[in-house]
Amino acid sequence: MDTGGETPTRLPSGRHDLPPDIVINSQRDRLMSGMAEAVAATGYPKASVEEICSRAGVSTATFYELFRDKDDCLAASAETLLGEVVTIVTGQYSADKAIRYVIRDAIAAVLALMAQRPAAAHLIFVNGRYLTPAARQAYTSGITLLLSLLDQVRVEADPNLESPRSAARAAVGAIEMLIRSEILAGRAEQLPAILPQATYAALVPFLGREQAQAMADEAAANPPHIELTPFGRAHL
Amino acid sequence: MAITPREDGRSEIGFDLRERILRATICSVAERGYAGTEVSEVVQRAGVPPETFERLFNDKEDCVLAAYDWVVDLILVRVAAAYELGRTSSWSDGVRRGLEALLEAVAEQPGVARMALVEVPPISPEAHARYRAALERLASLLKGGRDHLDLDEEPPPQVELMALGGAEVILVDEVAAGRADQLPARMPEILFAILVPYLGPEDAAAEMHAAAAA
Repeated sequence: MDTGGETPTRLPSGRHDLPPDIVINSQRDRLMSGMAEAVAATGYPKASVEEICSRAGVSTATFYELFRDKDDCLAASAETLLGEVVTIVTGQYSADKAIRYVIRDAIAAVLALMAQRPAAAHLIFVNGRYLTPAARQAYTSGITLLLSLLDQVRVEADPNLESPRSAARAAVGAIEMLIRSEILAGRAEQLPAILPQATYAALVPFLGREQAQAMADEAAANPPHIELTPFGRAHL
Repeated sequence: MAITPREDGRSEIGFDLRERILRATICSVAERGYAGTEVSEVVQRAGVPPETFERLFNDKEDCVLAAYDWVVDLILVRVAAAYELGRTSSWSDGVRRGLEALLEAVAEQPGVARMALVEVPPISPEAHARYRAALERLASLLKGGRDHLDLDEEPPPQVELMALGGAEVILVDEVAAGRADQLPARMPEILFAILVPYLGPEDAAAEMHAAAAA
């Protein structure tokens, strides 16, 4: 997989006047990107601390100053990514927007963020549910956020429709499958292109085929504009 | 008389050493997970010398993937047979029968289900590829049938992935949480998840209620 350019730029070596916390944050960011890249390349069991450090261009000594071990670095990566997803998803809310559009835009935001960071996308959508309990917790929180949006669309749905309780979880599972499939096919950068199908999958259990298809067609004809910061990092 | 295994693991008297190692591997991964499985324990359980293992497999991962292909194939053959049987009456009947067969297989052998759904896919990119291949087989089953569906509108592209994704996530969540035995009882709502992207919620709910009543 091409993950070129995803690792945050290394600070210039030698003497500089940067405050220590900026240096530390940069090293942390690079190690977390290195972690995501190593997991995408080899799977978590084989991703060694040495491999992560070499991808990040950071010494193992620094690694152990910043993280207890590989699991700790993974948990930090997962939590950071969750923070970004939460920020960008909640940013799609607005009082005058119908919930079905909030859902469409939240999906568009996740797709845009993941397209910008293929290794992170791989970490979350391919490996997220299988990882250590702490990392899985972050993944589950992200899913729960999307579930809460889908539960709100039930309010807009025909009250006679009886989708089972698990319909929202299944709909998010359908979207995860669509995303995972693109990532494994090496098309992470093109993820925004699946917005119409993903919108359909999210809405069809609640709004029916006709309205879900209309939302998908609209997303294809007129995709929402998502603002991302240069790294796709809301905190930068 | 000493048994001399051939290169392919079949001894002269037809004793399948490879199969014995694969069975031992399945038991070990089912009991201890991938990380807890060790080659030394597998060969002991299989009752074969370590050299036999080394002749047949490169390493633990190679052996686990071979075992994985074997169990997945057994399950998918069962699912496909049930699907084809049901499909003689209708496509959604085929889906229901196939799903029933899958959930029964999972509930019968929760350790094996855990291996197939939770333990093996994340071990390496190659393992993910095997998992994908299994999903592709299910997708082509679904696709083969829905061509005969009389839908007023074409379903969207990748509708098979949506259908499988909805069902798969419930299976993976439940198996990972140790509730594989409860999955057969949840068949109707999982059927809903598979059918809804094709049929919409009214018709999918009708099939769900019919399945629950049957």
